[in-house]
Amino acid sequence: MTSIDQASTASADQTPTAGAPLLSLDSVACEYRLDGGGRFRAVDGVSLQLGRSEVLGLVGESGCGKSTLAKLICGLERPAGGSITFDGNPVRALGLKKRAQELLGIQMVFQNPYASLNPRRRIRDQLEDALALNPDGSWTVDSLLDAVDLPSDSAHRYSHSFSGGQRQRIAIARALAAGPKVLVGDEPIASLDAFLQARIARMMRDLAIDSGASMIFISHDLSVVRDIADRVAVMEAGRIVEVAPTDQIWDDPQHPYTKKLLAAIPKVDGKGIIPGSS
Amino acid sequence: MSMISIRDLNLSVTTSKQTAHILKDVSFELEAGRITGVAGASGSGKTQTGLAILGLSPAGAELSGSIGFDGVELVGMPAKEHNRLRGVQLSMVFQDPASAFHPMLSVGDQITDHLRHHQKVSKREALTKAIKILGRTRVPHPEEAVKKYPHQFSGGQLQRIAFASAIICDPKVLIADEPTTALDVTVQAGILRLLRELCDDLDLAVLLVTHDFGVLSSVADTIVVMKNGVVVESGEREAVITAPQHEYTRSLIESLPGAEV
Repeated sequence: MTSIDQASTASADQTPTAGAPLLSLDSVACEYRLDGGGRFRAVDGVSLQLGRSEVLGLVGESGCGKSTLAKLICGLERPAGGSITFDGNPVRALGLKKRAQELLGIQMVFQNPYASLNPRRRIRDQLEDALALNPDGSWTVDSLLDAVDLPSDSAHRYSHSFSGGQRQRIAIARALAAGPKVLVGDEPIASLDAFLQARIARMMRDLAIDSGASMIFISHDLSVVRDIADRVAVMEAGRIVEVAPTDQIWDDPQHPYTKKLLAAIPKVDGKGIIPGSS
Repeated sequence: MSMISIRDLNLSVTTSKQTAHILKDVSFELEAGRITGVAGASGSGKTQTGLAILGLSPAGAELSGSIGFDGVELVGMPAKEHNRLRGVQLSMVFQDPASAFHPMLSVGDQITDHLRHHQKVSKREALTKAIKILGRTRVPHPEEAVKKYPHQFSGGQLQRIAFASAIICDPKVLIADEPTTALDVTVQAGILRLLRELCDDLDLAVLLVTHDFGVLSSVADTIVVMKNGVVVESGEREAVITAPQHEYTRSLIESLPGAEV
């Protein structure tokens, strides 16, 4: 693929410096083949930078390409154009290969904890696998479980004996165990109820920042993102339409699509007003 | 006038090892033309309350207390009699429209299935009615929609089809279990507007189960808050949201992201 060749030449003369962004996307595109021969451009010319110890929220409606972007960052999808650089190294698509050592610093928490945990292995074994990727780290199975507020006897249980919120916390612990520099959360809270959502989101932020990592937090829920993100990127139909500090997005949105998203959030004021109707 | 009157409803489920009390002395009313919202965290028993009304409590469940519907007692009603009410007078919309439909049957067949079973109308009449109802719930191009399959629709459109399916037999009670949880906020607003409209126009008694106080604040008329199978607070929408009496309700509202407290 030409895109990967470009990416590797670009990184050869570019050494990581303290000021450089940790993760940088440069006009990245991704296409899916459609039945019947057409192509669908799911991500189209996205450029983004993620700094160190920064939480970037990525919001947009279903089908806007948020998850595809997350997969591109993790190397689970092959870009059709552009380049992704993580800590000075080009991100290559995985294919059927093992992940390169220098890319293990990108870890992902998936949307559905029912599918992302192995039902046939004990929690301890799954966490130990992740710990083995980062032998210099200070985490242990017990300290990980403690960090995500799970009882230490969880280690010998299987994932089916946990609730959705608990499973998602195990998935977070597993991602942390590998000592990530970038934690990518693809709708990690979408399958939880509203009261847990805010709690898990804050937990992810605190754990990521405390361990010196950055986070990309993908959600369709602007109100949760507002709570935890430093900057917010708004995505529509494969493109980033607005990137700004969280307060600015909330108080002074520039793009009409951002305004539309904000206006659709129902307010908890008890007035019985359906958003969008005047 | 109260359409459904729930009094001291208890539900316990016995599995091989232990008995779990899912609902404890739950009492509230559903009134025609009003949306009653039930709020609570996962596992608080809000969905089980809705399922109990429909007679869909899980195997091994034991119900006691009373659910009065239009002068009929639903608790202890034989399954055959309940079957005659369900889908006709008592209907339901589920959380995830993608899994609520059979992927290999056309939309037209699925939303007329219960109509043809209960009202013995011909296939052609049923389809005509389906097209009319789909137009009512604002599914684009209803004539073509009846011939399509669920995967050809977006989540929001499928939920509109699910509402069409729920109201096609002119029910009196509609139970909507987290109808917007799987949808985007922009689509959610449209579905909420539809729910409000159907409730007002068809004089439905609606039970809206949700964990989202934003949703309740937009459409519910009365709010019931549940915790571990117990009703901790119930009252008019504005009173419950702006001046919650119970500590638990307050904590739920305060735990919401971006809550202005």
